[in-house]
Amino acid sequence: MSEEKKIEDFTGDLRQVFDEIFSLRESNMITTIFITILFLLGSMHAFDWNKNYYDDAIYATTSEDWRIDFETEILTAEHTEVWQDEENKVIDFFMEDFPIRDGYFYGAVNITIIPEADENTDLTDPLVQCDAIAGDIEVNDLTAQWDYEGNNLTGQDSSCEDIYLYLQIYPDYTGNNQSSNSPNEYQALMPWNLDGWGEGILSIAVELDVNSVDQLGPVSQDDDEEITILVEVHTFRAKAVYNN
Amino acid sequence: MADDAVNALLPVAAVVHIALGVMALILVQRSLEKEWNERYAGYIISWMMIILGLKYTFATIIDLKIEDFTTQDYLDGAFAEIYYSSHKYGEKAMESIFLCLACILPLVYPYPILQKDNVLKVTTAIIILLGVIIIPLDIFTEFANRDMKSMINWVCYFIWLPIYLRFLIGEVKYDEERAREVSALALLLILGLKVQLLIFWLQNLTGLSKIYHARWIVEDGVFLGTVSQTEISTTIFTSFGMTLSGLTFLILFFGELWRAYYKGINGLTVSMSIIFIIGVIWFLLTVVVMDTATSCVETICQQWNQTFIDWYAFTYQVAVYLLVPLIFMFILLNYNIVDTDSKYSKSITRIMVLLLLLVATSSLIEMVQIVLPIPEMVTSALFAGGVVLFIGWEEKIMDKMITDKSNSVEAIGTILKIYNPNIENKEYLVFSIITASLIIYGLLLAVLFDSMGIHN
Repeated sequence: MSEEKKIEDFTGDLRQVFDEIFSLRESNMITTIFITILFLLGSMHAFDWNKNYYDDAIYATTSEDWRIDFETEILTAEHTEVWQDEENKVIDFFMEDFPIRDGYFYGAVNITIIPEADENTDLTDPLVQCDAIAGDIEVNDLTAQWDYEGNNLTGQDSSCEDIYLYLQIYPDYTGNNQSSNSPNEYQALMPWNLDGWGEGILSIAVELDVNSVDQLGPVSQDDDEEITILVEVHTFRAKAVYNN
Repeated sequence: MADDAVNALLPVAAVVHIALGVMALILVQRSLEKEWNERYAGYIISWMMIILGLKYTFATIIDLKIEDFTTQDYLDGAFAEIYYSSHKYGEKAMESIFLCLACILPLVYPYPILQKDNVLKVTTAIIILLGVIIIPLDIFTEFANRDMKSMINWVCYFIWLPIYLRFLIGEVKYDEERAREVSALALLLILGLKVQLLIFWLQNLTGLSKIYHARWIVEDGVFLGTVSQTEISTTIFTSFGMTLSGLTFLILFFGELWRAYYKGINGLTVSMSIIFIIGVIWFLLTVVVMDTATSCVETICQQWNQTFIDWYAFTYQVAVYLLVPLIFMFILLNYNIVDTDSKYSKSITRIMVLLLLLVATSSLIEMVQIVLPIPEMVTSALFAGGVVLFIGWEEKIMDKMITDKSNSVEAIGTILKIYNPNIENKEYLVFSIITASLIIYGLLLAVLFDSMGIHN
């Protein structure tokens, strides 16, 4: 009878409904523990997220200003040989013969073609006439920036001056500092950590055209020239410096 | 190869959800003899299915558009262009409406929190209010408060979990005879809405999931060119959402183990154990891919491992696209929500069961075929075998489902006091009209906002 009365009194009010759902002590206890742990653990995760993850993630999406500095090291090789008149020789330099340090990359190659440095007259060249020398960097499979406008792949001289040739190997490498807008150091350095550049053979073609004084007789005819090819391989390691 | 598995189920899910939703709606409309909250739950679930189907339709269109994108396309902002288009707006609008409906389901079913005569009016008003505000707000804020929006769905944890516990303890400790019908239903409802989150229970509980959330912030902001989630949404709502799903799973799992100890193992115990194991594997895999996951924040985003992508497709996507409709159809058919007694209803129910089982089987076979180099002949033969099996057993499955029906509302009546409010038939119709209007409202806003280029 009293149970029936209770049912009759039940009008579906929110309070009555919740009384029904939370009518078992054990169930209420677990629910309370659940909510307590939820708030504790949830707050911990929220704090941890905000302190250790969110700022880093946002920072990773924001581009910063970086200065790229280069530590450089120059590796050299020299080749001296005698050219006969009107002789055209191709001298190969194997890039692997320039051992670069760990973390370094080939940046560019400077080549100097040096004619015989002899200012004294001799029997064969009494007037010390300068020979005409032409030097080219031959375009081949060497992985380099062959189309770079700043390259100097060919040169010639007949005034006893050195001939300077230049080939950029690593994209955009000029040796000067660069700037970068990147979210982090890794991305700022990414363009400067690419493998594969500077692999192959550097071929330098040199042609000699001797100028001699025919009027002084055959003994005075100079028909050869000693030429030195100096190869300077610029290697670099990039370093990103954060600009405040 | 692995990428093929991702979203492979989307178009299938779109069709299945819409078809099942429409058929369920037809069945619910004919189920006039059911209790008010069973009918109402039937309407809500049917509309939820239809809305999910529409959402997946938009997602399918987007997926087709981005299928051939290269990394350069992403960097050129092609993804952002689609992200701020009517398709994405439509998808998100449907998601918002789905959340509104999912928010009121725990208020009325299985044990109604609102038991007054005006329950339908109140809940319909909640849907209108939430829908009208959330849909445009979500689009205006460029979906940057996703987890905050999902918070409205937390109500299911806070209502169904206490109901589950109340009836679980009632059954095991106090021998309440039909209490299992209610606790099992509460568990299934939580699974139906949250199974795709529960599979991450361990990494959510330990907070390991945060590395993914951090990665998504960078991916959204840098790679996809969209807006990342806001600080408040991630700090409070993501963190508490993770904890909530992890803790809920633990309680459900240990609850089922405790019950199995006294009453024996059943299908739900096995299901929860499978989710438990999947959760542990997900945790371990997250530890394995930690470097990749954190790469976005620390260095530059690295691609996921192929096997990891496959695992994601076979767990998360199967759960969300196949398990969810399966669970809800099981609830509709097994828990006396729809009338399956008449001949007409039986035919529709039969179509529903066959459609779901065959589509699920064929989809799974297709997914396996994408990942493993199994010849098509073998999978076709497997599928044919499945068809024969289902046709042969379909009647038995159906009959078993219909005859062994549980009736949770009736069961609740034997244990707890419940008030039976007076609900007029036209109120269900008004609810349906309001829901349909909300869908139109969402679609209209999506098209208008896109045409006006609000995010250009």
